[in-house]
Amino acid sequence: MTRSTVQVDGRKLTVTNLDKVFYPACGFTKAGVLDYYNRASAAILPYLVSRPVSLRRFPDGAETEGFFEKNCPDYRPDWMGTHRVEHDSGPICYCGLDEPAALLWAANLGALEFHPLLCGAGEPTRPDWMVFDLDPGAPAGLADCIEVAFLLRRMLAAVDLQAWVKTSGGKGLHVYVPLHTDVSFDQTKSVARTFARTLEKHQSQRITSVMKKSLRAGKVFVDWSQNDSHKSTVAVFSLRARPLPSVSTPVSWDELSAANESGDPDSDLQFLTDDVLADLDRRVEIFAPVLELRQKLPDLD
Amino acid sequence: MAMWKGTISFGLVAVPIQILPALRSHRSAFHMLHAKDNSPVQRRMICPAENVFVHPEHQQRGYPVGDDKYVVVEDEEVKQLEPKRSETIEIESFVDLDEVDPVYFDRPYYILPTGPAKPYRLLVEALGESNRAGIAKFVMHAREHLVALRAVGDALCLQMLRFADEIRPGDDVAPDEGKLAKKDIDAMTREMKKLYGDFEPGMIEDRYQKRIDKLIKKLRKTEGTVSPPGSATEEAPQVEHQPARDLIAVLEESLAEARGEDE
Repeated sequence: MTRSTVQVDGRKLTVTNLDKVFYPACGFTKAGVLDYYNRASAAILPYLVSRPVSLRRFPDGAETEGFFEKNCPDYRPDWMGTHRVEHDSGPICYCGLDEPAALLWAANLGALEFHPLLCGAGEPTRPDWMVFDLDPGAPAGLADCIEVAFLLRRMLAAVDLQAWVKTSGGKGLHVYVPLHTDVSFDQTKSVARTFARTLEKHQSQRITSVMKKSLRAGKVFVDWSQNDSHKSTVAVFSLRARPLPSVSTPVSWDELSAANESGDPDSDLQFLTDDVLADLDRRVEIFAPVLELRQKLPDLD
Repeated sequence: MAMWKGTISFGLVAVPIQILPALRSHRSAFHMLHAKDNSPVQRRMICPAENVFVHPEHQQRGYPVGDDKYVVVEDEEVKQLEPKRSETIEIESFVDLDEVDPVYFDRPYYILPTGPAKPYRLLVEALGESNRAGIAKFVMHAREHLVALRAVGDALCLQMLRFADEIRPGDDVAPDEGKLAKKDIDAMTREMKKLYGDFEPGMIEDRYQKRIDKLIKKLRKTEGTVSPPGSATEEAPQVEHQPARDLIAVLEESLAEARGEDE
């Protein structure tokens, strides 16, 4: 095993096997992964700091099985803290990814993907966002997701809510509705379900709100169920374990409609690490309101 | 409830009894539903050659004797070979319970007296006091069983036993690599002693089933129930924050506008 020591913001970090290929389809190495997270740390960290984050680790590369790690390993550096959250099934001590060195330490373990819960560690019952995961079942694709995203945007606007979109890094889109107000997971889940079911009723041939794989073929699955205190969604600016090193990337509504009109949304909306780094400030800007815009869910009584 | 009625006998003793199951099922199994309409799907015997459902009346028994070779046997012929149901459980010997390795224990049943209780209670008491089990063979449900009768509290337990040839000897599977040193065994024993305790059956509980029960309860509340067409009424979800009809109406209206603009 090859090792080297690097300095990250004054922390000494040992990194290993830098030349190991993590994305065999294009020869992207572990060094590339660490370099990406190093240069994108200011973009991704605001979505990880003080949050319970599950690591999705692929120590043998992106095309292997991989596994979710919720509890932070004991062998973490002593300067690194954890965020303890009481779940129904017992407490979990998530890794405290609160600084660049912690992010890189995790990436060095093969954590390609970072999956935060939708709440802060301090308030595990109050979601900061309502999230819709638009997941196309083949032969439906990204073009169908874009159309559903616009329908969703229209419905949200009808109840005075604004939303922002990021690519999943694969074939889907994630729609984020920032809240940052007093709200419970029961509420976001119930409202999200109502949106999904209304969409399904509106276009039952193209949209489903049901998770079951056999019912999803040719339809866009509007996954509302992630609005749950123990469910995580992949973080914006996280790498994905796909054949190429793609990134879950913020996109503007204008870009979405342009991609749909161009007729090749799959290539227009595929962002690899270099694409994201080349345009990082603008990408950060697009999604910035998600971090702080205060919005209230429609009155439910 | 009784699965078998008859008499326990040995020497001059005869106790009329019945057998009851000792296991109670607390598991609820899932049913598979047709996702389209929620009808519970059924298992049916299919003929792969014709891809048709074969009614039991058109099925016959075949005993496999090689690849795609069967000997056809009539139900009647099989029935004649079945052992005759026993009228008595004839105890052959009383053995020291400690000599019966638990690996032989199969399903437990309870035995209750159908006549006067006294001989039954005497038998239970004597078995318990001597720490012995009565070994017998008897036929129930067309199968011959080897059983051990033993005391469990104040009740008589009929413990089905596995036949010796059903169980692979442990020595066949255990690793065998040289002799172990006494001091190493002692060290292992010392480590174990730190955890010596008393066995409490209550410490074993089916946590998986408990989690399933909890999930079902939650889903019934938040998701309601579904039913096949034309049957029981479905239950609506009873979530705390049931969205107002107003919200649905507003959302539907926004989509209707979208449709209007497209046309």
